[in-house]
Amino acid sequence: MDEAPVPASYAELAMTFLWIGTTSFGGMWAATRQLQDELVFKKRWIDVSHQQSLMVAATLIPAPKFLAFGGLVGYHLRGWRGSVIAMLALMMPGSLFVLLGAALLNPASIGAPLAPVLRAISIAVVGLLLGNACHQVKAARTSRRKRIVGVALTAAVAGAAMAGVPLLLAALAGFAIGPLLLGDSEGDAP
Amino acid sequence: MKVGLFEVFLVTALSSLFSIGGGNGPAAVIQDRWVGTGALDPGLFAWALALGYLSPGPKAGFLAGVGYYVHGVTGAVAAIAGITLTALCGSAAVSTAYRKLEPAIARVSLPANFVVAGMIIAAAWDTALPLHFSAVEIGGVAVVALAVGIGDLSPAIVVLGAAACGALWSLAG
Repeated sequence: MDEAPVPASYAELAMTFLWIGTTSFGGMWAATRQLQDELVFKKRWIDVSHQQSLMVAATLIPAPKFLAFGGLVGYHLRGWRGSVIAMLALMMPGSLFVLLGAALLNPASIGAPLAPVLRAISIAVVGLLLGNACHQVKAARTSRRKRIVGVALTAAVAGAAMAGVPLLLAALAGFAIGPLLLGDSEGDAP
Repeated sequence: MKVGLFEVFLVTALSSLFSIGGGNGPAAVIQDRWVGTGALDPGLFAWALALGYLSPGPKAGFLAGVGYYVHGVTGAVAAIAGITLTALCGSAAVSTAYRKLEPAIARVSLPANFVVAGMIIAAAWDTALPLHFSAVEIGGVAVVALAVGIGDLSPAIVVLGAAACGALWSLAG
């Protein structure tokens, strides 16, 4: 992360991330090629290996990965102001879409006609959450033995929260116990 | 307004900390803090999440909808500010001390996958509980969970498909 970047103005930074935020779907990894096209080939702000290292670094930040990636690129190019500009520009299109959807299609105000749609979406969202939990477990690259221990940890955190233990307390206990049970290596042979 | 503006900012900033390892950590915290306490209707929470899946850019955009439902437009702004602040601090810290921070973060990154999975399951449970799903609807949940978890079906397709089914249901009813 030591390369001298091609200078980028705040306006360019904002416009580029606004464009990325408007045209990318599916999260940071799904947008890899688009990020490469915009940041590496069109703007020449970073090179391919730097892009990859920033994407990996984004996964280390306790924040949504895509947002963290924007923040890292912005910070690398223009310090903390650049970081703020890049993140806000990246977030703005999606947030406005959600805000407009929440305000204009508010189920509480539309009422009966939208109720079955909302019900069907609620079913889908609960299924999505469970599917995402499955993805989360699948994403852990580790040995079979550690995966079994990890799944037990998942069950313990979920079970404790469902039994009435405050979620954050259950999660913090999981984070405290997890490294002791699983060690600190994510790269174990699966 | 059941939720104060500062609380919106604080909870979204806190929820961001549970994004490590990816997944829906923020959704689990929001569910716990506001849906579980009655400050946010579970249907509206699901609606905001669904809009987030359909929107471009980072999926954390759903927080704008959640912020709007609990504290109006200023709540939406506070929610975005909360999540951005955490990401800013993280970006600055990682940019300046990448090598020093890497071992500490790597130590929790593997357990984080499993802990966050547990949080998401708890969030799904707490979201479903007040909706009193019928047996058929529980079957629908299972089908979606399998399609997404094992079949890698895109969330946007799931949400659009559910909306289409709901619209048909509405027309038939």
